[in-house]
This record gives sequence, structure tokens and C-alpha cells, in this order.
Amino acid sequence: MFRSKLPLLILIAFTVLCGGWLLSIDPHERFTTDVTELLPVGERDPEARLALSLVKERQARVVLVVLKAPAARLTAAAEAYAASLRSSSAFVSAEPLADQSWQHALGRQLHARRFELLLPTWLAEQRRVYVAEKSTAPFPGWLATRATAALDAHLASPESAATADLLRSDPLLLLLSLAEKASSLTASPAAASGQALIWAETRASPLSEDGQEPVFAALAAAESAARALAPDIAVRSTGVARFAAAAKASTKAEIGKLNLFALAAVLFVSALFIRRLHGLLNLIPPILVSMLGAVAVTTLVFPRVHVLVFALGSLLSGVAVDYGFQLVLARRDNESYSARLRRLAIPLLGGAGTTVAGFLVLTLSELPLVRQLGVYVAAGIVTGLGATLLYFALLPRLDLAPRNLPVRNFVPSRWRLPVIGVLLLVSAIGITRVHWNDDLRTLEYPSPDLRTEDAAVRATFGETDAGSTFLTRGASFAEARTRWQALVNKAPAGVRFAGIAALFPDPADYAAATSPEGRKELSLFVSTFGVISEDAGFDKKELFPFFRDFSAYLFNPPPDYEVLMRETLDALPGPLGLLVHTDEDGVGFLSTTNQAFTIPPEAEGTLSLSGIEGLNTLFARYRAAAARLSLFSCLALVVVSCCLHGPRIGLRTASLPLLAAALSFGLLALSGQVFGLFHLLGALLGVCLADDYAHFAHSDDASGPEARTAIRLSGLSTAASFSILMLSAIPAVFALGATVTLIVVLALVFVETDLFSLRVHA
Amino acid sequence: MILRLLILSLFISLPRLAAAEPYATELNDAWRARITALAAPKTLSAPFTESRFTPLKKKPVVVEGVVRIARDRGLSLAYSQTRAPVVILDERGLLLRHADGREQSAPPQAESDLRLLHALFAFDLVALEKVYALTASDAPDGTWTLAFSRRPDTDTPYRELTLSGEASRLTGIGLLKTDKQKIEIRLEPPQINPVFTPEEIARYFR
Repeated sequence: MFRSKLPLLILIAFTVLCGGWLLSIDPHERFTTDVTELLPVGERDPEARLALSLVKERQARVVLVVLKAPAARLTAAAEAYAASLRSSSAFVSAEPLADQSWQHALGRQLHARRFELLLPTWLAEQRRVYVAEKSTAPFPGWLATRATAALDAHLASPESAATADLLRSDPLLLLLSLAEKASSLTASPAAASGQALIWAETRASPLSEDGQEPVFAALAAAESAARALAPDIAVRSTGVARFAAAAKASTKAEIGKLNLFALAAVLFVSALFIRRLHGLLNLIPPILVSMLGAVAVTTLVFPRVHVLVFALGSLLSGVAVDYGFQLVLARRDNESYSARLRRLAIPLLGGAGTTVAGFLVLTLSELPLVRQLGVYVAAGIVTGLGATLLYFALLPRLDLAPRNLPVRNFVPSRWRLPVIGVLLLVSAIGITRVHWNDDLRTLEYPSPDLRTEDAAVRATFGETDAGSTFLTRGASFAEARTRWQALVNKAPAGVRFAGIAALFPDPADYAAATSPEGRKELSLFVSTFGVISEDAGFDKKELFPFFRDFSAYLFNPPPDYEVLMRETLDALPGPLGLLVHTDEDGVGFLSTTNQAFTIPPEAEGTLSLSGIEGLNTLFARYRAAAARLSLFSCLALVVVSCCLHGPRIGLRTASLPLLAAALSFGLLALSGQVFGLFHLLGALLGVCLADDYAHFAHSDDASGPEARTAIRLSGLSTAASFSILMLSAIPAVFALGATVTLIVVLALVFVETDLFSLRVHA
Repeated sequence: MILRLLILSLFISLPRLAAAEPYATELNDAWRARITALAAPKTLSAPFTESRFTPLKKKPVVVEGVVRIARDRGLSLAYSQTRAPVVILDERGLLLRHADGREQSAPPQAESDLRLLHALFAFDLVALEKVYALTASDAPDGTWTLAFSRRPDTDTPYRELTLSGEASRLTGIGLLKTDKQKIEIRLEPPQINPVFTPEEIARYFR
């Protein structure tokens, strides 16, 4: 009695254990939709690590808002909107760009430290001209004459009408020349009439829960606050949070849809081959237990699991159902369940073992997604096989009454080699046309409407795709600034840089200006400037603020370069704070250019961050690693087959899945598909599955009609569940589905036609 | 009855119609005719000499150039210095167009002040009246002056704006911030209604 109920008790205990474990974990903590978590946390390449952290950190927390309302009420509405965001705990800051208060704060900050920050660069430029002119006059006197002439020329220019107040403290025009150089950095985008632009920064990462719903609630509250003042206001906003939330919702919906459709497809295919349809319901419990076990084991092994694993893992139902078919359809009258198990042990364990081994190879990958997928499917197959054996032990007499559809071997023996040759040729031609393009965006659920709105809002803020974005790194501020200067010097003519580094002196210029010799020259210069400017008609009393501040500058010891930079950058207002990045590896300056160009090899320490290209390069590297893993898997497959069946049959058995995979790649390439990492993973999975059929085709039991039906049913149900993945809007899921479906269908055709002469004829 | 009501309402509305004219008490019909004549040319071009007074220098900085006015486009100042940008003042604000094609706009906070300057050059008395009080005076030698003085409760940076002329010709413009910081522009006899070429329009206006 107890012995007969033991399988049921084990199944219940396993289900309770797995269910209890899954109920005990915090889904927000353990499951993620963050696309960057698909890449390794411990990425070896420091530049790539930095690019990843930039995507995850402050730059990703920016939300851009465009308000449109009648001009009379626009300013007040924009102020109310920004104030509402600032009062929310979800936002750190919110600035209407029109009020330019952050620019004024920057101006005040730079003015207060103008001699420390700006004088060294000005002095170095003047000295270069002095050297080029080969002047015989002493440098301080020459410099005083030149500064007076520059001030005179400025007063004669139309711009001087707006700078009269500033000139009293800055007659050397330090701030004015900087404003010219950094105009693209500090200029606010020109909002069209009736539009106000708001720049805001969220407190939490947009990829976390706290960075999404609370942010959307705060944006809605801000809109209400603005609408109270301008009822007909129109609001458009963009930010990573919107994409992340949309992707999360879509991916969750996709997981449910794909799993349901895959189950339905498997049952539909099964119904074609089985008369007792109600008996098919018995296939569901092992599949459910298989999925439960897969999720439980994956969450036990990995602290965080990406939900995409479950979308890709929907193929599990197609694989797990195979064992049920093999076991039930091979039933013979007057044969005990244990005898049936002994008879089927080798093909069942061989097929499952090869698949498990193939998926376990994936756990050697660098990519967390691939490792998680490997564990998920391997665990699912093991639990699926176990659940199948236990479940059908409870129903030893279950008979699905299969329909045996005889298919003639339509490839005559003498044509087999030529046919294989032709198929190899087609594969080779196709494979030569394979074009690889790895793009991180293929993992995301496409959101064309959001993309359109994002582009429109960013264009309003003056962001375009015409230029490049660079990150220049160094171990210290001095090294990063020196490297940035080298990049600027090596850039092609016509390229203009906008970056925070432009606001700071080159370390060499700073050292020259603060050296004892430099200070002595500056001291001589300032006294000479007083005399020469007065002779030129300037009123020295009006320039008192300049002489007072300059004397104080010369009197006080100069700050250390690193200290000066850190203090200045810590106080940077508004969006400018985003243009510098510091971490344990050092400092990085972000800069943009008006036109794209390739970083010259001499420009050390600079990384292009244009679009998502940097991460895509990483992705291509992971694909190369996955290709190596796939080759190892194929070699292992050949070796195992040869060990099981001897070299002659072993090579034939291994050739079937390998030709199916090669031909699939060839056909997909000829149809114009662009290949990526997930085609490669699909090929690996497809080879493992196709290898199962090759083993079953060669097993002693294969010649029987029941076993042939089981292989057909297995192959077609697997193909059906993978083809469901082709319904996915996520390109990576589509790629996986298309590749595996094609391989499995081709493998099935090869088995049915006995192209590799594997069948054992009784 | 209805006719009497109509006549009554007409009498009531007449003073209001008169009050709708800008500077109704400061400007008589002769002044209005003069201003209408000044504003009449659709285009105008005149050499000018600009004296900039700054507290930094004991003497004004003097520059020269050509002013071009197109009523539908705005005002443009082209200075004779080689590297000086063209200054364009129109309904969209102030623009500096440099020789290398670079363009600089005035910051948004200066927009209201620039609108007033534009109103001065366009003889938009309705806009000026809100911020400036007007004193109109005729001299015996035939010259005249329109002095716009900043009203006490306003914060525009220009304390006084002055237009001066002879008969129906504008000869001088004054923009005064402080006694030490002011701009005086002296206009030579203008070319009335010149036809600006497409190249001139592209270069001097927007």
C-alpha cells in the first residue's frame, strides 16, 4: 500500500518543498527585469565596467519633461511642476531650464575661483603667443599691454553692452573667453514659444521598483499641480524609467502568453497522434512539476534571476513532455511498469543526459542570462524526467491509443550520400553569408511609441544623434584632464567638444601658473597692467575689485590641483554634475562632440559611449565566448556518441544534429537573417534536442511503430513549443525560437527519412 | 428710445476711445503725425556713429557702422570693425551673428528689456507707455526730442531712452543706464525705403 503510494508522496513532498521555497522569497528582490543585469557584474574590462555603471547610475536617473501651455500661464505652471517634483521623495532635483538659475550658480562659482580655474589656461595661451611672436620685451610688460588692448577691443564690440558690470572684476576677460569656449555646455536649449523644459533627477535607479511607480506618481502629481494653473497644459516626458516599466510589463505578459501558447501547441500536436485525448491531461502534471522544479532550483542557485530566463525557458514544456510520450507510448500489453522502465532506461537517460549536459555547458558562460538559462533548463529536464517516471508509476495501465501513421523512407539508400552532400553544400553557401550583429536592444521588448516620444522630447532638449559621446578616464583628475586635452588635440578639424573638462585648467598650465616663477611674473604683470591700462584711458578706481581679488590670489598659497577640482566639481549645479564620474577606479570626464569621429589610438583612456555601441561590443565578445562553448559541446556530443555506439554509428548519430544545425544556419542566412548570440544559443539547444532523436532512432526499440510515433510526437511537440517563441516581440526570443524550430524540424525529417541509416531493422 | 440709448452710449464711449491712444496727454496731433511719418518707411538704411560711455574709461569708446531697418523683420547694426558681429534686434529678441557664422542669442531674462528696445525702434508707443513716461519737446531751431523716462515702479535696466531728430528725420538715439554708462547713437541722413537684396536680408536679418 505504502509502496504503491510512494511516488505520489514524493511528488507531493517535492511540490510542497518547491512551492514553499518560492512563496518564502521576495519576488522584487529575487527577480529582475534590468537589462544590464544580463551582463556580468564582475566584468573584467574596466572601461566596459564603467560603461555599465554609467548606464545604471546617475545618468540613467534623468527625466526630461516638456510642457506646452499658453505663454501667459506657462512660466507659473512650469515652476509649479518643478516644485511638485522637488517636494516628492522620488526626485532629488527638478529644474525648469528657462530660469537658468543653475547657470547663474555656475557663473558665480567660476567667478569666485576665476584666478585658480581660468587664469592658468589664459596665461599659457598668452605665453604661446609671446613665444610665437619672439618678442624681446619682458613677458609681464608684454602681457599687460596685450591685456589692455584686448580689453579695449572688447569695449568696442557690441557684446560689451552686456558685460560692463563683469569687467570691473574681470578685465582679463577670463569668464568671457570661457563662456565662448563652453557655450555649448552651458547653453540651455531654446524652447519653442509656448514650451517649457524641465530637467529632473530621480532618487532611485529607474531599473528598480522605487525608481518606477513612485516616479510616475510624482510626475502625475506634478502634472496636476501645473494643470491647476494652466488647465490646457500638454505634458510630454521621457526617461529610462518609462522604458524599464514598459519592458517589465510587456515581458511579464509575454511570459504568461508564451507558456500558455506553448502548452496549447504541445497538446494540439499530441491530439493529432493520440486517440484518447482526455489521457493527454496526464501529461500536464509532470510539465508543471518540471517548471516548478526549474524555477526553485534556479532561484536557489542564483540570488537574482532575470525574468527573460522564464520567457526563454518556456521551451521546457516542449522538452519535458517528451519523456511522457516516450514512456506511455512504449507501453506493451502484459508488460509491468518496471520492465518497461528497464527497457527504456538507456534511450531515456541517454537523451535526457545529452540535453542536460548540453545545457549545463552553458553554465560556463560569462553571461548571467546564459548561466541562468543553463541551470533552469537542466534542472527542469531532471525534475521533468523524475516527475514523469513517478507520475506514470501511478498510472501503469494508461493507454493513449496512438495513431500509427506509416511514413515511407522516400530517400533510397543510394541517394543518401548525394543528398547529404547537397545539404552540406547549401549549408556551406549559407554559412559563408552569415552576418553577425550583436545588439543589447534585441533583449528588450520593443516600444516604438515610447522611442518616438523619447526622440521628440530629447530633440526639444537639443540632443541629437549627430555627434559622439566620450568618457575620458584617469586615475586622478590631473591624469583624466591631461588625457582629455590629448583627445581634443588629436580630434579632426571642425570637431567641437562640449565637456566639463573645458572648465578646468590643464595640470601642466596649472603647475606653471602656481610655480614660484609664475607667481613672480604674475605679480609683476598686475602692477604693470595698472599703469598701462591707466595710460590707455582706463579708470583704475573702477577696476578696484580686480586688483583686490588678484592680490588676494597671489597672497594665498595655491590649492592642490586634485583638491581644487574635487571642491569645484562637488559644487557643480544642475545637469553639469552628470558630466563627471568618479568611482574607485578614478575619474571620468564625459564630453560630447558636434560630429562623430573615431578615437585616435594615441588618445589613451577614452571610451566612446555613443548610443549603446560600447555595450554591444561587449555583447559581441560574449557571443564569441558562447561560440567556443558551443564548439566544445559539439565535440563532447561526437565523443559521447562514438563511445555509446562505436565510431561508425557514433559519427552518424552525431552527424544528424550537426547537419540539422548547419543547414538551419545556412537557410536562415540565405533568408537574410542577421545573427546574434541567441541564434548561437538556439543552435546549441537544437543540437542537444536533435541528438535525442538520433539516439532514439538508433535504439533497439526504434523499429516498432509505437516508438516511431513517440519520436514524431516528441519532435513535433518540441518544434511546436519553440515555434511559439517566434511569436515573441523580443528579437532575442524570436531568434532562439526560429533557430531551434528549424533544427528540430530538420532533425525530424532526417530521422523519418533515415538519411543517416540509423534505424535498426529487425 | 433705442436711438437715445445709442447716442448716450456713444457719448460715454468717446472719452474711452480717446484714452486708448498711447501717451494721450503727452502727444498732440502734430507729434502723432511726426511719429507716424517716422514709422512710415518700410525699410531704412543709415550710417551711424555710436559713443559708448563706460565707467571703466574716462572717454567714450566710439564705433561706426550702418543701421538697417525693415519694418517686417527688425533692426540690424553692422559695425565697421572687422571681427564685430552683426547685431540683429527683432520680435524674437537679440541675436549676434559672427563672421564665422556662429550665432549667439541673448539670454531669456533679457527678453523683456530687448522687447522695449525693439518697441523704441519700431515706435511701438503702446509697449513703451507701460514702462516709460514720455516728455516730448520741440526746440526753436527745429530739432525735437522724445525722452522716455523709466517709471518708478519698473525694473528695466535703461533709466532713459531718447529719440531726437529734425523735422521728420531721426538723428539720434540715447540709451542711458547710469550717468557713466550710456550709449549715444548719431544717425547720418538715411536712405529711405531702399530695396534690400536677398543676400543683405540673409546677412543682416533673420
